[in-house]
Amino acid sequence: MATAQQMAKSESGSFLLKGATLVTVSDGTFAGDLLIADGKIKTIGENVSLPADTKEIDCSGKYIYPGMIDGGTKLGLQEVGNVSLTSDHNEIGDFIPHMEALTAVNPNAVSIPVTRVNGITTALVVPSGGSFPGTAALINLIGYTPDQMHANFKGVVLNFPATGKRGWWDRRSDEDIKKESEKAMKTLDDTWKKVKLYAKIDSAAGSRKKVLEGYNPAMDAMLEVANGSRHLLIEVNKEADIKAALKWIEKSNVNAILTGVSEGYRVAADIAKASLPVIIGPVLSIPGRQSDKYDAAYTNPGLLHKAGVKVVLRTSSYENVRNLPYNAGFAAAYGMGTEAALRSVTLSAAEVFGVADQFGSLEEGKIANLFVSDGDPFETNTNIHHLFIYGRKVPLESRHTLLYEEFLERDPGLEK
Amino acid sequence: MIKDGLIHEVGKSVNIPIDAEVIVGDSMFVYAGFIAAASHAGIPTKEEKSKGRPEGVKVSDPPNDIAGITPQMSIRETMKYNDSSITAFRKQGFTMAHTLPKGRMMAGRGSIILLGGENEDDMILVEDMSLSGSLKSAPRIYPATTIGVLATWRQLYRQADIAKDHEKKYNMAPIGMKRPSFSQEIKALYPVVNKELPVFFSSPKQMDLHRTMQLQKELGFKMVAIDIEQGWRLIPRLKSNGTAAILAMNLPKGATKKDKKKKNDEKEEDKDADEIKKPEEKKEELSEEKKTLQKRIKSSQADYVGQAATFEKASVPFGFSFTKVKITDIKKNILAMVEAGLSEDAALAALTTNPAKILGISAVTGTLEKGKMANMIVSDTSYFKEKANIKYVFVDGQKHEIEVKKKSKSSGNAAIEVAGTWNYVVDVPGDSPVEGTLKLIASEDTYTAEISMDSDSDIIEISEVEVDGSNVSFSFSTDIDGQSMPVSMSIDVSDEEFEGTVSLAGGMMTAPVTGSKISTPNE
Amino acid sequence: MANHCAMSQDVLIKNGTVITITDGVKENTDVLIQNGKIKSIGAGISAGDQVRVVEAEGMYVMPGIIDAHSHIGIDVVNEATAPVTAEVRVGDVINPYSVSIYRALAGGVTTSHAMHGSANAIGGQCETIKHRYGEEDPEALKMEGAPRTIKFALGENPMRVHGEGQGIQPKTRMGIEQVFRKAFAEAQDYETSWQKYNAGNSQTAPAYDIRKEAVADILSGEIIIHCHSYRADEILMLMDVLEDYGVDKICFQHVNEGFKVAPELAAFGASASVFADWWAYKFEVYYSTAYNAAILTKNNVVTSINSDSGELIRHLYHEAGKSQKYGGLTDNEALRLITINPAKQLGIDDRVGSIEVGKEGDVAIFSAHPLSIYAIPQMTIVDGIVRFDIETDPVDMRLDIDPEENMPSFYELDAHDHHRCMEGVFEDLFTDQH
Repeated sequence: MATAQQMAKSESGSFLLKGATLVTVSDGTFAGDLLIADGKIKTIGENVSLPADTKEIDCSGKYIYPGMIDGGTKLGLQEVGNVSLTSDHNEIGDFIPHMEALTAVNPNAVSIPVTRVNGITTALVVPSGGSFPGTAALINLIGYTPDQMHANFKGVVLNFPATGKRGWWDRRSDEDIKKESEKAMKTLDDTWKKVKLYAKIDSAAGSRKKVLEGYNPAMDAMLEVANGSRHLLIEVNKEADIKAALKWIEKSNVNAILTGVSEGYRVAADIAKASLPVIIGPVLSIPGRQSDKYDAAYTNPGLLHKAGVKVVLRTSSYENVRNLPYNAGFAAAYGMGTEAALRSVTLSAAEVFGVADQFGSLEEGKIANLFVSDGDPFETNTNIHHLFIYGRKVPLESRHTLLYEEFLERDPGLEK
Repeated sequence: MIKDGLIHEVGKSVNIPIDAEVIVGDSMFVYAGFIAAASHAGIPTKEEKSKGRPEGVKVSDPPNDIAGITPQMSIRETMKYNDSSITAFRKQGFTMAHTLPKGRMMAGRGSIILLGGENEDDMILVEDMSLSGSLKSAPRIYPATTIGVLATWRQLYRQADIAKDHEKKYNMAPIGMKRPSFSQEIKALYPVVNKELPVFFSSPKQMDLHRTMQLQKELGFKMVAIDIEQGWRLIPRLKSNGTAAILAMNLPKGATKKDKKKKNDEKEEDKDADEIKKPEEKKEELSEEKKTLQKRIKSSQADYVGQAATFEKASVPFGFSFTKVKITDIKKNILAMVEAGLSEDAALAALTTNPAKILGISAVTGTLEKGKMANMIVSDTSYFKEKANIKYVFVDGQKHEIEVKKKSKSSGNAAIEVAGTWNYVVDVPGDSPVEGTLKLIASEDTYTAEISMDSDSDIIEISEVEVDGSNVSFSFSTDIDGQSMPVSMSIDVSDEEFEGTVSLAGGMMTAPVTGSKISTPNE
Repeated sequence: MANHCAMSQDVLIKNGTVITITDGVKENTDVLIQNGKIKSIGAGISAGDQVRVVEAEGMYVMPGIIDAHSHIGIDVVNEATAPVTAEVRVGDVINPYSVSIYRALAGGVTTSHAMHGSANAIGGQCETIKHRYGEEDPEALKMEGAPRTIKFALGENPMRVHGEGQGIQPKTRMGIEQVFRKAFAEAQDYETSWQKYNAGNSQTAPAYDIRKEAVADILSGEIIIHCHSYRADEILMLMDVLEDYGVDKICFQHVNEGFKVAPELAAFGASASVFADWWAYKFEVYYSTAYNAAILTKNNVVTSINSDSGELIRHLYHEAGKSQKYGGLTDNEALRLITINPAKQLGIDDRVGSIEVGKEGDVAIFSAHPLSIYAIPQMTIVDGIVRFDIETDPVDMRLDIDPEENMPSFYELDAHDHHRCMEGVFEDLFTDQH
């Protein structure tokens, strides 16, 4: 029964999912039962007996999958596309890594239930805009406060200087583009020098924290990036830019994750050599160049995967994050294969975000983020029957389903 | 022999009257004066104030002049007898031009003018003999797009057709009839609707040409297609329609740069990578894909430069339009077209007899014939030699002497030109060619160099290099078969290439050397 | 090879699973296309030695997909300078060199409805085009004889462009209604005065107005209206206005809230062309549902799924599949959304939209069932000519190369080039965050 803003409440408790085919991702696929208790996957096995105070759910003929993870979205940071005041991901300023996406997430965004009913339980929320637009955060799609949603990963975003055209409306000349990107590169180098210096001073200051006068939140936000304990998510797409980024990463010694990487297939060997993971998407995109093969974006993840690169997929969306499994499905069909594609939206994502001990696969001890479906979640005629996040049973309701229920057979119909 | 502005006699032994001014033309070439089939000669260039929407104007229904609907405009209203373009064109050998007004979709009427005279009246030969048409839309007001422009053409054409009939009927029997409303724009279209005034329709790209020809097919006006940059695929249709073609003299940027050696191609075109690398490194990195893409661009450029030759091969006579080309690029572009296959005869025809025919003035000009207007060019050698200089241009019998600016030997520009890194190839007689890299370094007012051979890793430093204008010479010693040999090189540099001689051991053996630039010092 | 004219060919597709749309699914069946038309469907068809044979064993053969809302292949989308611009035609600016056409073919789409944009209440006339990629004459892409269509737009777009942008009506949905009423009334007057003149009842010809002529053609039923619309109330408004003027040929486009007035749409006989799941990009689509297509279908409204995007058009078969997820449509119901239904909406269902003898040889061959995510289009045939073949898909598909471009430019923005409905409307007015 829907309430004023949100859907029906999620249910806490213990649940025994019986007789399903478990697609664990980490340990293969087999028939079995899965017990959820205290928010975690307590037991996986055959013929698990029903404990006290546990609800049994018959899952025969069905499949259990780990909840899917979207490696890059604006979910919760944008409500209506062209109403700018509902948009919270693009702040003014070029060097503002201290902008926290997490705080601005609207836990009650209408898109959140719309997303999770398709089996996506977790998403990275990413700021956009200038060179250092802010700090991205991983959230689980349940909770009434951002803190409740926070899934223990944050990364600072860097939009690497780009030498490509911004869009079909970008009328800058080649020389102008070159000049601007060279300027951006120089600014980046200068900024990084300042960051390193700040980090040096800060570590030297030790316990006497207030060595540096003034309030410098942007620099503070970069400290952990400088010492490698926080990842830098580097958005870079064009081949030449990726090469430049690889050089820069080596020089600066940051703990990097490449995002975007739409021409990654052209430099797959180099990316693999650098042992950098990539977050790619949307897979359902047109190629970056008019001369590219039509399926360049579809085959990109598969080619990188074949070259030995760890691939995570993303939708970059705010309202259609629910299409993550279809992006994965196209990647699977065009060379990546279902197994690798599934991993790229589950365990690989968790690994890249450093939370593989908590999410990403069906393993005892992990947090119960999972769903029960009647088939391959990449197929459009598959339905999701049950959804769990943090071990809570989440109702499969969203504004979309409620509108369906109200209007499928409208009453009154034609008559007044 | 010219008299009273006309060619009086042409021949091998002409009687020279006592009062004639004699110009000794030994081994000089005399041509009929060039005719620009479409141009803006005489119209001053005005900076367009702003590209955006004009202020205080009703967007959906702006005044005709701002929307670009001014078919009644004559070039008289803007033309200046002493505009710099007149002299500039004349210097290039042009004696007449069909000048069209500048504007948008219906800019106004064009006139044929002589490129010389003391005032505008003096210069106009045939007035208001064309309508300038284009698909250029209005700036963010109606019609702001090609589809709006085409709809407006249809509207105005039909409106003029109806108004013309109405006026005719009214003049015959006005009783009981509503009087025709007077609109200068509509009235100006009557002769177009009557198929008397041809529309010189700007059609640069293939799609533009298709669209203008479609419009012509639909409405039925007389049309000459001008400014054609990419028309070769539509030759069959131009032929079957009988539409006269005026090809654009302007060529795509970068299309006329001479073909460099393969090594240099990669550096030039691979602007993708921002890093500066050694030529060898770059060679490896250029993938098959990039090579194919490169080939396609080169092939496309060749199509554009070869367009005139293609029209010639298809037996479609054409003129040239000069509305977009930089006047000082004209000669370079013509030579490029000739190199791409256009015969000299066809080139000359496109500049003389063809435009004369298309413009309907063949009776009075276009050739050197007795009785025709004395429009002529006197050139010190064949026009088609790069180093040819036009000495005199006669417009309507008036002599104009053309000064040739000599390139100063030691101008500042030369210094920049020769410095840089060059590839060279020595054509060794009876042996395989020797290739290598030559670096010319400019510092303050002296030059030094470094030379190496591809087959050797040694770099020889040369401390004294003589630069005289575009000539560079130097000497050095190198080991050949264990023996130290003196080598001297003397080369002439032009733009991005050089050619010259290498001589070994004081002239014992000489060989030609050619080179091409890889990079200038600032890159 | 039998080649009766440049624009059509013969081809025999053998042993595929043929999804006819109108006559069931036939396994191990051949389809013969002759002179560009479907000649026969059945098992064991043989054709002459000259006919190209395509082995389709293990593959699925369906009618070429039809996109009822697209802007690919045209150089101009919006003449946005007036609220009524019925006189302009996008058919004037078809560009056969548009690589988007090839990319659509690679997604099994053989026909698209090239539309004017949505900046104006009454926009320009549209053009139904066949994806004859390789033909260099723009006229060759027009689907000869296809009914005339025109673009209308309701809601935020015309309100923003004219009301907010120019300070002229319409600025509200009330204003949009009056734009239609005024344009229709003026066109009626125009028609009447010309009829009078033609009948000899008046000496002077009325002023000629190409715009009013076009609107008059809408009133006389010669042009099918395709109306960009979202909100339930504005959909009802337009149906009321059309009823007042005796116009009934209308397909509502996007119509995100169509499901809220499905009974009314069905009663009027209006059809609907929708997105599979786009929403929330504007306020007027904030209250939409991905179940739109299913609800409309179940309420007997002829429904299609469209793309309005050079990206989405490439996987319309996948978009159709979403109607199974959101509303449980059957395979046949889902595939009708991208074949016979859009054909009906464009008035070309007697020629395309299903595999039937006598219809045009527009066929798409898939490696798996088209509604499966794993299906990869293998070959797309238009009028019997193979226009896309995955085996021979070249590296660089461009037909026309810009001589001044150094190297094909790389475009950063991923390709959400959807919402081209607003393209050409000057950047300062368009604030979509996509």
